[in-house]
Amino acid sequence: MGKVIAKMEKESLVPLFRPEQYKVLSYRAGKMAVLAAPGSGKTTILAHLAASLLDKRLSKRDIAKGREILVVTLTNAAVRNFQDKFSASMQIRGLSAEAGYRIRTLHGLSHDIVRENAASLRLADNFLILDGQTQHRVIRQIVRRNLQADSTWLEEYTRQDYVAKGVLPKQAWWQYVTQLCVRFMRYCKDYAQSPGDLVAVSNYTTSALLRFCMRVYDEYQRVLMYQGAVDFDDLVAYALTHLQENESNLVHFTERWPYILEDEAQDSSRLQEQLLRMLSGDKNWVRAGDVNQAIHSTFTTADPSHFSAFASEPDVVVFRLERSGRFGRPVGDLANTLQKWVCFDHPARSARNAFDLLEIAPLEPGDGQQQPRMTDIAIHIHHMPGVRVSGDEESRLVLNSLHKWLPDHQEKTVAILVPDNARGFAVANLLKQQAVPYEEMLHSTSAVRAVVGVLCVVLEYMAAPSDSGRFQRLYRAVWRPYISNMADELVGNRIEHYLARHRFPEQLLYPLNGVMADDLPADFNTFCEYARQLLALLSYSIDELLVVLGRKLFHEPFEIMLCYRLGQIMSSIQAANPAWGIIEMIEEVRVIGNHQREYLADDDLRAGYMPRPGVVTVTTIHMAKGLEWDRVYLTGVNNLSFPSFQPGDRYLGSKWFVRDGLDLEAEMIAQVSSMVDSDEYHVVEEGIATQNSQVAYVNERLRLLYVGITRSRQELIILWNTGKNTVHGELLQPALPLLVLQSYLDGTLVF
Amino acid sequence: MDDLPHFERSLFLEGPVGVGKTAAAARFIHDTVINEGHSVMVIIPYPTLLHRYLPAKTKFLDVEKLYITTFTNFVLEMLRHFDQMTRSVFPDPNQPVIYAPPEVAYYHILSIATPYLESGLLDDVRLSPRRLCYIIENLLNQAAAAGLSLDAATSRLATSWEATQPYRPHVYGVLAQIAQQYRAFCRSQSLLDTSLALEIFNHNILDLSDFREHIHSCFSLVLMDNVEDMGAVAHDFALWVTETVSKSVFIYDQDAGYQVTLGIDPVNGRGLAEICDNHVTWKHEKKRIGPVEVSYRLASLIRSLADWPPILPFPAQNMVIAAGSVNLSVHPDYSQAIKTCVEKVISLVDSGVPLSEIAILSPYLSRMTCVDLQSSLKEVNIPSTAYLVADAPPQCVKSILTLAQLGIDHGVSHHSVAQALANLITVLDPVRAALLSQTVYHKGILSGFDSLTSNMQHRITSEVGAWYEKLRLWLEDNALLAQKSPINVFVERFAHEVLSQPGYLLSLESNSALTVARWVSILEDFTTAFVPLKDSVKLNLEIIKQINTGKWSTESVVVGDQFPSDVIIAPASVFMRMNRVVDYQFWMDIGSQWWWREQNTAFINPFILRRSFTHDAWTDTLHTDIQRQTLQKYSSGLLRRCRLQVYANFVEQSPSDFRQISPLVYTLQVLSHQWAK
Repeated sequence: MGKVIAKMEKESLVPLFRPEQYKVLSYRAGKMAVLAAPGSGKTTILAHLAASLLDKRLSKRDIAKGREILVVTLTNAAVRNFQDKFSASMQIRGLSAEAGYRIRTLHGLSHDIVRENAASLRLADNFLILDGQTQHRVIRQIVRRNLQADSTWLEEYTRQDYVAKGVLPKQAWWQYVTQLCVRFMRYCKDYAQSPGDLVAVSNYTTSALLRFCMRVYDEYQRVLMYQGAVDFDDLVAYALTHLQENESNLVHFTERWPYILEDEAQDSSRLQEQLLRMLSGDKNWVRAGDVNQAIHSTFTTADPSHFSAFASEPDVVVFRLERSGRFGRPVGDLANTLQKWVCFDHPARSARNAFDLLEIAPLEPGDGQQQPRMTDIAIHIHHMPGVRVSGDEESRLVLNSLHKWLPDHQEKTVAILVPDNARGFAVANLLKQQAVPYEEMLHSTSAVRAVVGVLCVVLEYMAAPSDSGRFQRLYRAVWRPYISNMADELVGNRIEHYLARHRFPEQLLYPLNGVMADDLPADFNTFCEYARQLLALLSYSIDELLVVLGRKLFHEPFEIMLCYRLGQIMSSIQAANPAWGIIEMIEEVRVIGNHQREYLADDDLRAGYMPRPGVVTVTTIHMAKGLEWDRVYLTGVNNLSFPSFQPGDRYLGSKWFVRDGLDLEAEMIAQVSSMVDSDEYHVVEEGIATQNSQVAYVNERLRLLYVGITRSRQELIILWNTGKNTVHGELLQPALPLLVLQSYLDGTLVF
Repeated sequence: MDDLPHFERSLFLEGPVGVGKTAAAARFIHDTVINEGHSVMVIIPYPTLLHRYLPAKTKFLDVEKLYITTFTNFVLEMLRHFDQMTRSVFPDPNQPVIYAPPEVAYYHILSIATPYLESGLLDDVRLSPRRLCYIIENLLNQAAAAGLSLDAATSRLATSWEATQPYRPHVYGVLAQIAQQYRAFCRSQSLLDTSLALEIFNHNILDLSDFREHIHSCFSLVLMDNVEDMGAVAHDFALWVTETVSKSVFIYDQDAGYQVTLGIDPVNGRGLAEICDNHVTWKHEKKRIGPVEVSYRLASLIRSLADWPPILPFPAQNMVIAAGSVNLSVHPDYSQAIKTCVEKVISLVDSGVPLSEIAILSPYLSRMTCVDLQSSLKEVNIPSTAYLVADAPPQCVKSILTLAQLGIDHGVSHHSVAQALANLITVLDPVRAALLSQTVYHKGILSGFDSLTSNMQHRITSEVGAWYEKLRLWLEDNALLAQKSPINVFVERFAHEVLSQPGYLLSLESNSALTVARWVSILEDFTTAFVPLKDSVKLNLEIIKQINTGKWSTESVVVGDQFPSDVIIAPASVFMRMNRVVDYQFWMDIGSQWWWREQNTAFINPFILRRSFTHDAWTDTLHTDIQRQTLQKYSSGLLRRCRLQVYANFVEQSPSDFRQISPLVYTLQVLSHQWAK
């Protein structure tokens, strides 16, 4: 019977898959690594494999017993994406995707384990999970308090010319130290080091910074303990602890999840790998990823070396998916050129390890998938030596190009990939001004900023209703664009003019004789009634207010949901800061809105994101991973965003006020590593870690460039800018890889 | 509808929800008092049941003959009645015994527990101070309700867990220390909280011959309703009653048992059947229809599930279950679920359904969800009452306390002063209130209206100025009152001498006047029980800050005023305790874990502390059984209180952004498949 099904499966599925993909689908048990080039269909294959395992390897009885195929991937967006592909695959098999599987992020999975076993993990049953914002705020407060008590030790790390002048850039230091502490704690948690484990080290380390971070870590953990809370890193550690503490706990879960599939394995952290290895019993574990697309290691604990090491284990079967039908051959060749140049010819030997050479191969003739036609392919590198181009000017160049191209290509998709969010906001603004249809995938979208902006205007008005300026702004920024249905522009202008002249809002809203002195349009009276309704809500607390305002101000489900989420976050902030007044609360709402992704933990907007024809997507290269467009503008490819150890190259880890260009984060982590890796504490020679971190940074940026290039299906335009101002007397230069790729296109570089 | 069967001395009547036990009991009491002239005491576990018996009471001319009380109130009453005996339990019998409301008890526990947290003695667990206080409170209450000493209770907890979770014995040791220290503090101050009252009643009053004589002479019949929702000490009293009064009736609800963290013991309660002369069981009719039928099938399904929890992640979808008795709708987020719920309520109301026949329920309801529901319903003129524990005082009280604080410290913001003034002076609008506070208020001092420029006086108006001046002068004249006298005295005099006068809030709003009057009494209790703070300035400031910053969830204050004609919004257990049946129910967020997990039971496991607990250790099987029982209790309990239809909604993502797994959705879907067959 099983063979018949296998034969049917093969017959029905072979036309859909290439031979190497089918090999992956033939997996039945054991450990497997799938090394996949961009566009090779890795996630789709993994989803089919999950469906196949569910169909063939789990009986109805297994499913009734609660056994599941476990899939772990990187983000909520990826979970949704996987779910869609998995459901489609089940549909092909004539099955419904009802039970017997679980698709989770690492944190989601850990949460499941911890929530089920809270008490045995010494947590109250309704333990609190600290969101990113609260976590950051708590750490910021601890850092500030400790630095206020003593910041003299910072001089040791400050540039000598500043120290000599007696100038300590306090604000910059405070922010940087907070960032260092956050990173330190993440690292310690990834290595399961509690503050208690570090006590011995703190006694004899000579590093004042390390001692400071340990103190902050200790205080932070106490705050968590005190609040009965855990943070996201704790969730994973707790789940691991639960499995390690008791054999029966582990057996319970290994039986529940007989197969574990992991997507985006190149971004796996040490803890993640440890957790999944335990859950799989080191048996049925399939990991798919592409180390050449590992672009999250700089600011997280993700490390592609874990996946590489896994692929080298003797009992791991390795498959390579090299064929890609995503892009036309020239784009694939350009990406391969970048790989090969880096691997063989990069002037810095240390950068040559950035890639694990996996050449992208074109499709075989007759492949079911259609590769873009050669006639549609175009690659252009916009390189004008000697011309000064600021970031804004670069954006305008892109805009001009779009103006010419977009009207004739409404059926195509297009993206502007930017190196960071700040540039993305600027590009989005420009597109908005020029009325070019666009969508954002940035840390914060304009839609979110707009909602928060409206909320803040309303809250600010409610906090000081006697302020005529705020009353005017309520009309101009909220009533006119969002609430009023009045189409007559002139009437609106007249009311605005009237409000600007009239300095006493109380006489407009609550006239003594009950009637308005002036003969004003009906819209004005309706507005006043609306303002009075808002003031009637003054007795609500901030979380209640946000929810009620959400219903009152907005209509779109997304906007209302956002207000609800803001309310939830503000509820916990309010509980932690009962003495805060409305001014502090408004400021907090604004901060949350501006850093939506970090604080609202909201990548739902990205979940299932599909580029729309005729609409420009603005996003960072990081967020573009996994997506593709017909035309891609890859911007900002200069020696700040993509350094390559060339004279004048800049590195993100170095701060202008830190002495000797030290990357303190790297220095500190090197010291922690030395503690964790051996029983004794060894002093790490200063500067080496900074150099190593520059290598890691350069390598990751090279991979980021590779990711950017491989987002394009047909047309790729690469640009760079000199920056607005000079840095140490120098303008930014084109990134070395850009020049290399230019030579390749010119035909002067051949591989 | 059946009447109670005839019995000679004692009757134990049991049955599921909705068979008419309480209604029959109320009729029986009515007949007993009116026709036979007996004096009757009715003891209920929670005040929400009171309304079932009150109609009977109001018909009697001789109200003395019917005494209805909760068990806790009865205990307190008896302690007051036998005051000498009660005092003798405390080190200083000359000192009057003071009752500590839960909030004050909580405050004292907090001050004792905090050093333990800070010293790191509890580093084995992650608990906030607030949570730790709940835990201590639960420990005390549950031990007292079961008649266990603190040592016996913590030792039982430690033993039950020591094999599987070795860290626990140490934690329970520390919890016992905190609880003992708090108890010693109460004794030294002659402070009586609910758990100590139960303890004294059990050990010192129950055996008094005077007490037996008192009850015997006062009542010829004692009826205890919902004995399953009472603790073992109450059951001991029930046993005592059968030997003391002429007649006794005990009513047992087979599906109930809601006040889990208060130490109830349904199994022990069921044991009363053995000592009664008559034992009667009522059942639902065999031909059950609608939600009641669904409740039986669902309960049977939950019991029969092979694995628990059924964690299969169904892609939940909208569906109609059980011939239309249950409608399940799936939503991406909470705001959508609330919107759909409100729309459905509107359509029901439009089609003529009385408001009181609609209840919106969930085991856990956040304040935010309630506000969203209430304000959305208010927009379309549908009144609703939320039965939630208040965590902030009513606006009128908050305003008074804000102005009281002005006389004590300078920490009040302009915004708060403006709100207080706008709230208390009827002619003052929010805009002029903001102007006024910005101009007259500075560092705790309200200056005179005439100190303002004539332009500003004109803007704020002389009428407002006059009302403001009157209020300000009173505050100025009575500045010492807020400092030297108990805060309740300040509030009472301020309310009486100023705010009840024309031009101020209480003269216009009788509800606010009643609220303030109630708060005067609550504040008096707080002040009296705040024994260690003798300095009135500090004491008043502490009380104001505790209340106005929401640190006290003022349990003594309000558990929803009874507005029987409104749409009900309530936590499921509160609704079930109301003993009401409605036509339509809305179940919010059935993916939430609180549908199948009891809240606040992780450390002080109420099941282990029950007298009826006979196991040596807490096992996974017991754990699973409790979860099944909880799911069954909520789902069946609610269905049996619904006549026509349940609208259940499922939100896919939890507030923490994780996909929810719901045994309830699972069982409803399985039920749907079974029903279709």
